[in-house]
Amino acid sequence: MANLTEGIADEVRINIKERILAMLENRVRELRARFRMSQSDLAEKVGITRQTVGLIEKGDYSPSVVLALKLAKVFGTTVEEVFWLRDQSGEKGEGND
Amino acid sequence: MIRQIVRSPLTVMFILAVFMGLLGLGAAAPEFFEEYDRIILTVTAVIGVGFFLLVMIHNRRHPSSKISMATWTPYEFKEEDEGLKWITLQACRKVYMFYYYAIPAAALVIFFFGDRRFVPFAALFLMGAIQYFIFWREERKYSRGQDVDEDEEF
Repeated sequence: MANLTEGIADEVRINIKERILAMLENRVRELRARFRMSQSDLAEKVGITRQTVGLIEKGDYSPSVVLALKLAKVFGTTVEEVFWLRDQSGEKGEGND
Repeated sequence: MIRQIVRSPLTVMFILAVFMGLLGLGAAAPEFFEEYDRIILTVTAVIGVGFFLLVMIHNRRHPSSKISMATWTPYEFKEEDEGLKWITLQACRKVYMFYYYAIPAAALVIFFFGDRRFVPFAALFLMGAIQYFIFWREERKYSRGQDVDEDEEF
């Protein structure tokens, strides 16, 4: 029983740590370059503004699931190929492995 | 250009600065008071008509992206997509934090110095000007550097 409680506590601690340290990384800029698109081109295809493309590329703004799906669709790939979590130690986290 | 002027927080900040200047003039030169109400009304009317004309000109030039005259949404709010809504949210958050402290501070100032006619107005105009400055600064923080990429082609 004590082991189970400790196990749950550890898991909660890890989840909280992950939530604090995890950062959303993306390769929108890289993919945009590969597809030879300007920010304006991509914005037009997805139906957003150029400013929002810039915000996402800089990592200032984490897009909604809907927008992430739309971006992935434009690049003909999956969301995990475009966005992934990275912790502050610099190690790549979930997705895109 | 007109759209930027109408929607910029700096425009309202400038208007508030004009009124603060008028208040300062009224406080510094009491003999000015007889004409005071008329001057305030004239300046308000000029700014109102000027604003209306700018919107009319813009709407005539850009019928596909008209600026609505009948809206409760402040013009400086950018809500075209989720990214811009997020910027507006961040700016509003900072403005809220400012008022959290500014209102009690202004209440104290008015309590102690409210016997002078212009103090409450000066407090209001100053808070308004700072509010727009904070909003503008926050918007600019997230938009900075994006113009460079305007024509970026790969």
